[in-house]
Amino acid sequence: MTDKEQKIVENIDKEIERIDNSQSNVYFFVLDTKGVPDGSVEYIYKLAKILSDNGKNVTMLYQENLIDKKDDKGVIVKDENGNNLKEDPFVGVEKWLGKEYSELPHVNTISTNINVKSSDILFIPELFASVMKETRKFPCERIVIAQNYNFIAESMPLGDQWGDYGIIKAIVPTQTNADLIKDLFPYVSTTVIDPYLDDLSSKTEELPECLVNVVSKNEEDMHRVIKPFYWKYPMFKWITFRELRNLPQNEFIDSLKKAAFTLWIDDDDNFALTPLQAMNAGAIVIGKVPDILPEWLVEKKENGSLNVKKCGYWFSNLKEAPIALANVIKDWITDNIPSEIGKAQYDAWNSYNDKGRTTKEIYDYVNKIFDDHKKTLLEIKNQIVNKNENK
Amino acid sequence: MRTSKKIASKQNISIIIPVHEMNDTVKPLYERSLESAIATDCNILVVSATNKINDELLTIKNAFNKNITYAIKNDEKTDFCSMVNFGVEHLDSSSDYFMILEMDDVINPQVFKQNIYSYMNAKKDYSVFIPLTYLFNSKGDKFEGFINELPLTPSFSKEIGCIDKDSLSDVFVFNLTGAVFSKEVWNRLGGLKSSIKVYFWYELMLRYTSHNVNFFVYPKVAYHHYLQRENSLFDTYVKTVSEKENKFWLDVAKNNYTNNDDAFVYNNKD
Repeated sequence: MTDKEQKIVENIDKEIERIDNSQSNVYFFVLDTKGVPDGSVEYIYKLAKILSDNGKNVTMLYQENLIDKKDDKGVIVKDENGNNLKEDPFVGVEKWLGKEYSELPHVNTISTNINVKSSDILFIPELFASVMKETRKFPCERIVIAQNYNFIAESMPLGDQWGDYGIIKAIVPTQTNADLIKDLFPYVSTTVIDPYLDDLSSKTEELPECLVNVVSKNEEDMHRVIKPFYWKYPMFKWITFRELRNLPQNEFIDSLKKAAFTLWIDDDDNFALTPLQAMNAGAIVIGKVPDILPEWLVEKKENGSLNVKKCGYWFSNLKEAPIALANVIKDWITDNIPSEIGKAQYDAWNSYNDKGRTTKEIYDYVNKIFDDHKKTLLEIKNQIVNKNENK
Repeated sequence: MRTSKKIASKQNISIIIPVHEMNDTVKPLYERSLESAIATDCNILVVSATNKINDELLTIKNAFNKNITYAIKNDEKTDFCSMVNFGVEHLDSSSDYFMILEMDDVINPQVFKQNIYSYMNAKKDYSVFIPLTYLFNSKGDKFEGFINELPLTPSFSKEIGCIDKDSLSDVFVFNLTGAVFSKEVWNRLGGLKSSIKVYFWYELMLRYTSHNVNFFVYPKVAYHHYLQRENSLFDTYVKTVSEKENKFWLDVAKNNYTNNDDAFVYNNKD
């Protein structure tokens, strides 16, 4: 056995030992939402937390350029040599997801070098095409977390595709996402890891107020609905809309529970977490049917066509929103909400009220990656050993 | 002062219907009104202005074949406030709560039954529960708007739905027919003052809230109020009230709520 071969075998043994001793790292790249709640980031943190709770070495990675440190008056702080002191502007998720998530280990890859080993796993959100490219020479398994179909095209440079960056695996929250990715990149193997919802329904004690919570990705969309609603239905001028964007998670959930209605407009959210949370909190959802339908929202008819389930009051374009709102408010104040909506709402959120399922899915997935990697390493080792034995 | 309250149940809310006239125009409206009250499963007390009307009412009662109690008011005081006060005085002793139903208005029995007890149990700090109310024209074929909706906005008072003393400084018009009152509070703080025209409900609200008895508007349309019929007593009266007189009665209400002697006219009599 040559020295080089000997070195390779030693390294393989080390990596196998790391895997066997659960010392391999699982890295998750995340976007700093600057304290603003984000369903996609929540999904990633929940997966990371599950793995951390189950004995994996999880580290959250982010990229933030250090900035000049300023004092309370906005003056740049200098050290004893007159150099500007720097600080990391990363805000994280403590404000909205809580300490249990923010206390997962975090590393800024711009200011800190990480030594990635072949037995590690690196999860990269679909939005981070640049990270996929930068890490293409990394020895570890790299897996894309693809929650948003639109972001894939938006983030990739023209002419490039995932295969060019060595990406051949992805985890997705819905089968719809999986099918869409297969359609784009047939060589990518996709695995559905179901998101889970914390059950809030038992905590709902107060009778809901006749208020409309608004969760809209774009402020303009919100105005396109609310203003025409008041113009067309002046008798409802007493109805109050409350925007929930940027609220910490606990306040967000409390608000969902206190109001009778949640207006949801977000074409980019392929899983549609907010309407499920609202349904779970007991609110009636008035929502724009998203461009990409998550499977919980659709049912297949006998003729094969897809129908939007009656788990809320759905409209297909913003012009229809005011009448949808007026109808649901009228139905609610007169107790005429069809009972089938309540049942469909329960079925929708309850299908994701299963943390155990998510835990098993992500845990098994990661373990399989480790096992497969270990097999590959053993095969390489055996090839080297056998070659030398045959000599 | 706040007294302990019994938990509301279907059995202890009574509905009082004051009837001061009866003719071919009024009769179908009254029957519609009575029918809606019967569907709530509450006890019903009809306050009849004279014996003559009572005969007509008995005929209607027999047609409905339901247990309806009657109180006949034979004196000359047949204004709305006096009729209501008289009705409360004659409630069955088991009635801890009551509602006034105008003889040409309608309760939505399903909405009432499904919600009133939930709100009464959930909002134990309140003694009067006011429904969000639909307002229709006198013919009943045109929706004119909502009544009692303003307290459902977060900026109205300290709690959505709450009407307290501070929130009454700018808003004078509420419809309290359809509201569920605690009889104990009514007996303690007095009923309607017949000496005050137009703003008698407002005066009562000022009086109650000044004693820290707040009102709660629940966001369900349990009551349909119809604008006054042309040539009805109230319509005739309202048409004769000038803006100046209207303001006068508002000032009277604002200046007299601290005095509640004349709100106990029937108690005093007894």
